[in-house]
Amino acid sequence: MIPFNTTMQRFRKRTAMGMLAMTVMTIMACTVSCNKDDSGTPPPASEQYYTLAAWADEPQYLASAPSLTEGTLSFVGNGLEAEGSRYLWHKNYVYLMNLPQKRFIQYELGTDGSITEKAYILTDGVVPNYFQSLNVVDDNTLLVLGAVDGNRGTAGWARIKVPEFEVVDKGTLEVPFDEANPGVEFFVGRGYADNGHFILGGYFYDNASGAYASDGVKALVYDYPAMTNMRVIQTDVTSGGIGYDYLSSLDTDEAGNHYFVASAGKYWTGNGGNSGIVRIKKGETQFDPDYFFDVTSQVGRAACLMGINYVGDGIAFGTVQYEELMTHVRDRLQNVGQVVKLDLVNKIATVMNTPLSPVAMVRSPLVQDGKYYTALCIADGEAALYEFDPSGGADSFKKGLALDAGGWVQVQLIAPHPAN
Amino acid sequence: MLSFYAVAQPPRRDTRADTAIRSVQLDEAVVAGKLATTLLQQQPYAIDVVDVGAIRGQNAALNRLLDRVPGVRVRETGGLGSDASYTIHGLSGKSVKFFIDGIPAEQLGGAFGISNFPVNTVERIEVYKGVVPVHLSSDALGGAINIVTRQDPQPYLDLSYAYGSFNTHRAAVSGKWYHTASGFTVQGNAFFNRSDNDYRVWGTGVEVADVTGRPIPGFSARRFNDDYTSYLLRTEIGVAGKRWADKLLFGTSLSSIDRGIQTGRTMAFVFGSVRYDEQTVMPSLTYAKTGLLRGKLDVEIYGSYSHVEGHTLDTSSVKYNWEGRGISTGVHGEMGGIYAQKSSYRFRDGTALWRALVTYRPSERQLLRLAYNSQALSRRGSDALALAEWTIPLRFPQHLYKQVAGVAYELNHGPFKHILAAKYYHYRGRSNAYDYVDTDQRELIPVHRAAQDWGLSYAGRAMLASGTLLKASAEQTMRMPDPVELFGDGTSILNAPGLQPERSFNANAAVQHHFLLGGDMLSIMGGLFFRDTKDLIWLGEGTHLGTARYENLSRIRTVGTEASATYHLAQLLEITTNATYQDIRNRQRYTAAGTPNLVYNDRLRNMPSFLASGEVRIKSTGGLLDAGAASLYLSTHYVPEYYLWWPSLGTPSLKTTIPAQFVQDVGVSYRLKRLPCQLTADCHNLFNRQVYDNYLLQKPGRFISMKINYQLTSK
Repeated sequence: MIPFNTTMQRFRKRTAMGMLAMTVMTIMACTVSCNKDDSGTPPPASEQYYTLAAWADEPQYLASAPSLTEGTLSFVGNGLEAEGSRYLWHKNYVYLMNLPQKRFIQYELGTDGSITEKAYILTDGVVPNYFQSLNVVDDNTLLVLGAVDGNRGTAGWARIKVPEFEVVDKGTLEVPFDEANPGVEFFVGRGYADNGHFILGGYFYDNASGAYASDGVKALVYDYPAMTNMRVIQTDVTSGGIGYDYLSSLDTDEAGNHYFVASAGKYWTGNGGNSGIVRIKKGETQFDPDYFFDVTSQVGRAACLMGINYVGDGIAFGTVQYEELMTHVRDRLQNVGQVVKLDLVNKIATVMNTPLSPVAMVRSPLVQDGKYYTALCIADGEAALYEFDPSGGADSFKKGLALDAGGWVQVQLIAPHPAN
Repeated sequence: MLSFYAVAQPPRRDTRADTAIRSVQLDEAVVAGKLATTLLQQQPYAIDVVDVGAIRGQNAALNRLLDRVPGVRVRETGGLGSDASYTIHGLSGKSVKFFIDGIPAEQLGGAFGISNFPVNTVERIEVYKGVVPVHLSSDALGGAINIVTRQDPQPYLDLSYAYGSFNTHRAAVSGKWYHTASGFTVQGNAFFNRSDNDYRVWGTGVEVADVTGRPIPGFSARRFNDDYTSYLLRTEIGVAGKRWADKLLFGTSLSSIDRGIQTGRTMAFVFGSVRYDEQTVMPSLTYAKTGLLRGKLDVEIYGSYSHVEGHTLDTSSVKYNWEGRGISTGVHGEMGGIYAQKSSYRFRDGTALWRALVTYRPSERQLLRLAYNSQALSRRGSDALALAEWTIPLRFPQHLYKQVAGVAYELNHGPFKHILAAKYYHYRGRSNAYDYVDTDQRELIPVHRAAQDWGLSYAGRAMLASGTLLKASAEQTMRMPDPVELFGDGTSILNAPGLQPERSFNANAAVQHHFLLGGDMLSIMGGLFFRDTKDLIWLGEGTHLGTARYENLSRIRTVGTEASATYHLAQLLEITTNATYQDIRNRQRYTAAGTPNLVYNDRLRNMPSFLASGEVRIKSTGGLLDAGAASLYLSTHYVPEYYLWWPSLGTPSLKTTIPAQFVQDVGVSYRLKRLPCQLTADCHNLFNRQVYDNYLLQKPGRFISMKINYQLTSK
């Protein structure tokens, strides 16, 4: 018979060991609470995929779909998380400015629908905050610009070689600033390089009065690639900012002429004047004095033109937001926007009979094969991509890919993958 | 009431006999502490008690002790003096209220932060999970943590000093003296904390670009603007043990904080010269009398007025990177990202607090308790530079008035105990928003909020003949927004004038049992908890400007379970372990606009679902040196990886996560026999792991410290 003391000692030992084991096992057994299932449902086979970036609750998601014209895209269990508000699509890549990480990220779009983060650039080497303006200056070069201390006379820029995604040159450039009126800041917008010059849009904001400060329409002209010798060019056809930085506010036609969106709305870079399109002809460094496409007058309802995408043969599609329906700038995310067809040659605007939505906030719509694609994400309603045919009239559009986002989604970018 | 104590009496010449007596008294105090702990744990509430008195010699921050409590999660943003948030059974932030000896700690200023408290000034920590007793008369929603300071009946003096990694100094002195005949009492406490907090950080957010803009591989940096200094001096003078008053004490507190602000809401926003300082002055008055009406009535009244002045200074003309090098010059401040403007924002809070507690015992089995708590806060802000837009709503007066009244009835009936309570909450606040109204320009808008509600609670306990303890409790409760939530913190948290009070139905059930195994004991506890919370107030994610603000989440539901076990092997070995599983779901079926909510029934983002910790402690009563007592402990803490954003959205393998934490601490302490002195060496995060409680806010690595604690106690 085993003595009682020995039994107790064994029991104590076992209990102690058991407790130790329990501690270890409890911890080891619970190794993962995030069940990292990376199998993901692969998108169905397609000849060409498309990446969509969208807000769906928080943050934003990048996901691909096999078609723009049919099916449903959901971010449930699908997509890359992204935190940014500046997107650029160029060739087989999407570029994203991730704000909380201060990273400018390059994603490669695969023929199989994949979206792969390839590399990133830190903004700190160029500007202290983030790249505000993302521009393609030629097939192999991006030019990014960002504020240096609220653009008090200086902005930062970097030229990035792509697809290698390396900064090859960087510096600062002068932007308008009046020491006598220091509350007025210039915010850099979109720009383009042409004939040895870089022509930059933007807008002025008066911090003292809390309102946009517009006096005519201004663009900045620099020597390119030096980014020096700033000159301000101006037209007084209306009064507002041009080339808003994160919207599709600048495009070029077949002849190489450049069209800037001039937004003169009181809720968008202006003071409530007429909005429309201004032109700078190919190779020139002055606004075309004979060209102003007054969209507001034709569309009515205090429509403020927000973006354009050139389709071809003098036709572009654009978006307006009706300031009559707005009481402050936050209303831009309500159902106040509509798509318009713009005949740039004859200066005729046709309001498409689409439902009202925040469509003007789609930052990077797509033109492909002569069609225009954007997203109508009706606030508190359904969300879908729409295809617009420039050859038809106000009803020449059709609903395509639906977005399953539970009532609130905002598409930011539509970008094609390379075709199989 | 705080009980921090000044010098007692000159130390007498030591003799072996005196030392032995003191040693016995110390042991008695430890035993008394354990008894109080046991009695509290037998209360019907879901309560855990940390007996700090038993580990007073350790150089442990109270946050780490709390983090080992089942169901409790402490999330820190950095090193000493950093912000911390506390979660009890899935409810977090200000839902969890802190009290110091029953007084709401929120008015005491930042120097009273829990991590600042030296352990040798604390008797125990009471953690109420769910139902909060009426005598802690505040609007806690998810639970309450009551820090009970030393209640030594005899005069004493306690001195301690610790030095650790990152040039960290922690010194504390506390004591108590009274004159038996007159009842004149002086008690006081002071502490000083300082750290450079220059620990090494690396990874996402801590990056420096090479000439191509790409990050330099393997880069790491030391934090360079995160130094922290705080001190507190607290005295109470009055009389004790009189016929008309058990105590009548007038107290004065002075405290100060000075620290650098190293980052915004993530480490990608690095600041090189932003500073924050804060000073607090707080007079108080405490009166207590027990045994009135032939021993049936106790009365306790407390009143205080605190003046807190905080100052955020952001006037740099240089932006820094993680090398500590200026990367842009001529800028106007560092905070606020692209909208940065120099600021010198100063706020002044005046808070009047009254608390009354009346306890009446009509019979031995019954008890009636009435409690009232009123708090009125007025904040005035100013900015000498008046440039930064974020300070605009903060420059104008903001007010907050809260009152909570409660009544509780306790009935002891054989093995059963029942506590039924009701609370009334009232809140009125005025803050400012800077926003659009009906124009195209933003303007200052005064925002008024008011709410009132009733709460009910029940807590019951049954002690079975077998010694098994069964507990159940439930409550419907409400919590009103806190000043920080409503007004911001003057640095990275903006004001949120639209906040609504949060409400919750909480329920707990638990079973406890002790197995006596010869001279050993095994204690086990298992519990279930449930929370149905509406308008949860939580800190939203940071914006691209590096700031964040509190917001309401309309409805969440929490179901969870916890278990703990403690094994005492004679007096030599103690093993404790616990684990908590919590399933917290977003139960907002429709968005505010009435459309289906995509993340309905999703697990709450940025919240772990599992917590576990364990500790092994070995004690020895006979040591090598001076035949003193020694103890060695090894503890570990584990939190699995969890998602920053909603778990159901996005491809799981590509989602952003807060990495798993598996951290070990080890320490050894030695109590000399000839001297009332204890020496301690501790090492936190033994394997120098990269740990995060919050997204992209790395906590310190390995932290080694030494501490000496000297205690004198009068017979």
